[in-house]
Amino acid sequence: MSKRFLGWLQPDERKKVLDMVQDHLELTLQTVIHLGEMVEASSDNNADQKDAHYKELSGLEMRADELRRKIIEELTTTKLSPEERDDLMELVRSVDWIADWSKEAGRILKILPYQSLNDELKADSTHMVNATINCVKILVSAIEALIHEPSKALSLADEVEMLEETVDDLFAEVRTHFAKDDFPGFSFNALVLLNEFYTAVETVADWCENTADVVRAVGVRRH
Amino acid sequence: MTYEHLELTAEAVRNLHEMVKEDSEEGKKKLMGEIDKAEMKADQIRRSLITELSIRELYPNERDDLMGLVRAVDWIADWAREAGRLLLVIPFSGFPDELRETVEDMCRENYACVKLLRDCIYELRKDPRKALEIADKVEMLEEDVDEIYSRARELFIQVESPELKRGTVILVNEFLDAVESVADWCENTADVARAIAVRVIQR
Repeated sequence: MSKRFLGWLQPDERKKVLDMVQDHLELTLQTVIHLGEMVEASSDNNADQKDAHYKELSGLEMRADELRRKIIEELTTTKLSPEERDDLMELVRSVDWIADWSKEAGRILKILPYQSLNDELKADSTHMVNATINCVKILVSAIEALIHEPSKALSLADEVEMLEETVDDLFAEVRTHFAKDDFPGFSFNALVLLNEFYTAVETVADWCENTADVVRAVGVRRH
Repeated sequence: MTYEHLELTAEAVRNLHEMVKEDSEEGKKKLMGEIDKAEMKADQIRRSLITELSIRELYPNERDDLMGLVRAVDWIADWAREAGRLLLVIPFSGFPDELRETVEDMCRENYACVKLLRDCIYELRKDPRKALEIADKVEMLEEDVDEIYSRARELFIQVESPELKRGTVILVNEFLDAVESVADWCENTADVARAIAVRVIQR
């Protein structure tokens, strides 16, 4: 069983893998931040900004994908025990889902007549997306803490889980609008997609929770 | 801990069954509170179990098996909670009796399914062959839920009401799907239990 996280690598190899993981995390975080910007631009009916943020988001997700492939390649060619390799691969794959679902949410948002939502729902949606961004930020801190301060990583993983609960609660708030609002400006199909948009945002938070489980398992072994 | 996790999950599924039978909003909220409590406690146990399994010196296979089991059971409680949350928002009591009864049937079968799953996991240690038999029964019950789900969908598309919001239609569809996912995850968990049982028998 592995006792240390990344401690088995030669200094040069260690730095290389660590830098790549760090870059992957940064790209993922930026993806979610641009999703938040997109929601803001959509609320303000600023189509140019909405498109610009989607382009950024989409490009970042592609770069994250590319980097994930490189990390996996690197991990396969670097001398590692199977367990250590699995830990890192699982972590990187799990983080990648966060970027994937952010892009999915952005893809749907791009075609929605979001500006037609009422102000109350717009505000609830912004809360939900902001809570999701916070969830990703704390997760990134948890993964970074794994390297130098595993006990802190564990408490941050708990925090991620609590934030995921908050996102769930905000999702429930948003859903109440589906049962009571009329959604003028939305065709039935657009309404189905709006629901999918919220589900995609919630899935981003779900993947933060799943990744926090991986952090916990690795962190405990390192602690 | 695994057993406690299972008990809490079964409790969440039982309360969902109670919730679909409940007409009053107050009663529904109270039962939702119970589901929330059970699911959150189950989550806590899952976290502790992951920690425990990571610390203990176990064979990687064994650890992966148990982690897989705990995560799969956790999905059952998650879906029960998701169904409960949706039920709280949709005007379920205004739906035709036949549709409501069909959903009740689904939830009753879900509870039967999770109870069987609990028996299956208990048997893993005592009698893995019996665990395999029970896993088959879980699968059969899941198929029953699938059948009832088809009936519920059939009834659902016949619902016509001018008072029904378009958003509600989407949520009801998600609710039915969430109820069915409870049984799906019982089946998935039974698959994990089956793999463990086979490994134990071969030892």
